[in-house]
Order: sequence, then structure tokens, then C-alpha cells
Amino acid sequence: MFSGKNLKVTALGPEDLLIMKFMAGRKKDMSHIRFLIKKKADLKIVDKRLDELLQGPFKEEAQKALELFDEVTEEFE
Amino acid sequence: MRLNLKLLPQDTLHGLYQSIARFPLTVSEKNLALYTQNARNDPRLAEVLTEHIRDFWWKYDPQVLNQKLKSQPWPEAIRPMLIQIFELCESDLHTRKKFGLWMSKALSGIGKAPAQLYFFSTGRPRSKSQDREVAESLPSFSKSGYFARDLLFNKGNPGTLKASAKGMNTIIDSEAGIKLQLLATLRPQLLGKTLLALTHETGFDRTTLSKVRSGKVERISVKLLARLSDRLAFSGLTKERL
Repeated sequence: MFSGKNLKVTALGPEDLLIMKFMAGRKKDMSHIRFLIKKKADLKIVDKRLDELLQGPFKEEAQKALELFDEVTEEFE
Repeated sequence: MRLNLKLLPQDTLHGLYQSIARFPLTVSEKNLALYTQNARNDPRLAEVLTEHIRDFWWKYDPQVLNQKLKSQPWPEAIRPMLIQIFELCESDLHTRKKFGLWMSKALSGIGKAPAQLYFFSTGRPRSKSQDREVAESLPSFSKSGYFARDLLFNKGNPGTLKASAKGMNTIIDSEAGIKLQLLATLRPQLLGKTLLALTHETGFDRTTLSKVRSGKVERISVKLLARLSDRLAFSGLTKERL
């Protein structure tokens, strides 16, 4: 986000936020998800990260998140 | 008789969340009934309303609310909210009993909805996420004929059921009555200024002023309101003299 001489600040980007929202998968997240996609978040990063999460300890949640990801991205195609 | 649904425009909803949170005492039974219909279209509104009802249920006359709900197309839409408050929020026995009575009056004659999703879905019919809504539906929704799997509280935290002002709206007890009267006279003076300016003017901290401004009467004492009223009157007088 910012990189100076002595200070480097990192922040979450729309892709990170999308991953979090897909994993939560609540109804109230849906409008945020659509908003972030319209803001041109890089969906390849989201897809790749969700795929990686399938190997981690939250396989079931990651599977549901990927299904939701497919459903929502279908709307935008 | 077919009843018409009044859907609030999406762009006004953010203002609505704020006005419910900032001026909870101004919401009428009629508006509450209307908002519960719109909650099916906006999960965030459903949360705001459930939390509002948890904190301010005692302010509404259950019989009037019941009538207003029956004049809406989906009177059952409020049922999952009330069930979740009743079953999940912490409370002492007395408050719980009072709320239970209030709830049964508000829901009298309102039955179960025909099986349907609680939240309007914009997704593809029979998509996996819609199937999950049905398969993982919470009992509080199923009891009302709906399907949904989210708790209607922000971050899924039900919180505490707020105590009533002893009597219901019509027979409100004297302490709450005095508080509401004092609030009615104080709030116009508080609304036009920022919290920072008010802190300087009255010497009260931001949290207290915020509670007064948002009308959370059960969290403030009559003594505090009287002191604040004195300070505001005094600062008004000194300004006039200057």
C-alpha cells in the first residue's frame, strides 16, 4: 500500500476480502461480493487461493466457497 | 384481499440502518412492520432490525404491531427474528417472561408461511448455495415456514435481551417516563452539534453523550440526564450573556 524509506505498509486488497467473504458465504456477504467483483478484483487470484485452501485444514469450507465462487462468477459471464 | 408490498430502494437502506441505530425511539409500529418485509430483501437490514427489537421491544405496543403486521403481505417475516431473540439472547427470567408474553401478543393470529426461502435469492434456482439454505436451515426459520441458515445478529453474536421499562408502552413506569420526557427536550439540542463540541460544552464523555443522543434510555440514569440538562441550559445562558 505504501513503501517509504523506513516504513512499509501492507493492507488487504479486494481479492483477500473476496476470499474471506466466499469462505464465510453468508447471505449478507453476497452484495459485498458482487460489489467487489464489479470493482474489477482479480478473480484468478481468488480462484487460485481457494484451490490452495482445499489442501488445508478447512477443506469443507473451501469446497463450499469454490462452489459459491463458480455460481457468482457465472452471473458475470 | 391482496396486499401490496412496498420495497424500499436499495440506495436508501444505508441511511435507514443509521437512522434505526441513532434514533431508535422514533421508529413506529407501522414502520417496523414495513421494515420487516424489506428485511427479506436485505440480510443486513434483518440484522439491524433483530438487534433493534432485542433492545427496544418494550417500546412497541404488541397489539398495534400485530395489526400493522397483518396489513403487510408477509406478517410471518418477523417470527424468525423474535424466535432467535427469545431462544438465543441472554436475559434474566423476569425479562424473558415479559418478552415471551409480548411476543405471543405480537404474533397472535400470525401462522406459518408456506415453505420458501427467507431471503430473496438472486442466484440460479436449485443452485448449490440455495440447496444449502434449505438443508442447513436453522430451526428458528423452519418453525416459521422459511429456510435460511444465518443467525440474524451481527457477527452471529446474540447479545443480551434488554430489560423492559417495567410496563409496556402504554403503562410505562414513571422512571422511564421521566427519562423519555427529558430525552425529548434534550435531543434537539444535541442533534445539531458534533460529539466533540458537546464534550467541550458539557464536560460529559463521548460515550455517555452518544448514549443520550441515540436514546438508549435503559443505559442512562435520570440523575445523569438531569445533570446534562442543567449543563446544557447553563451553557445556553452563558452564550446568551456573552
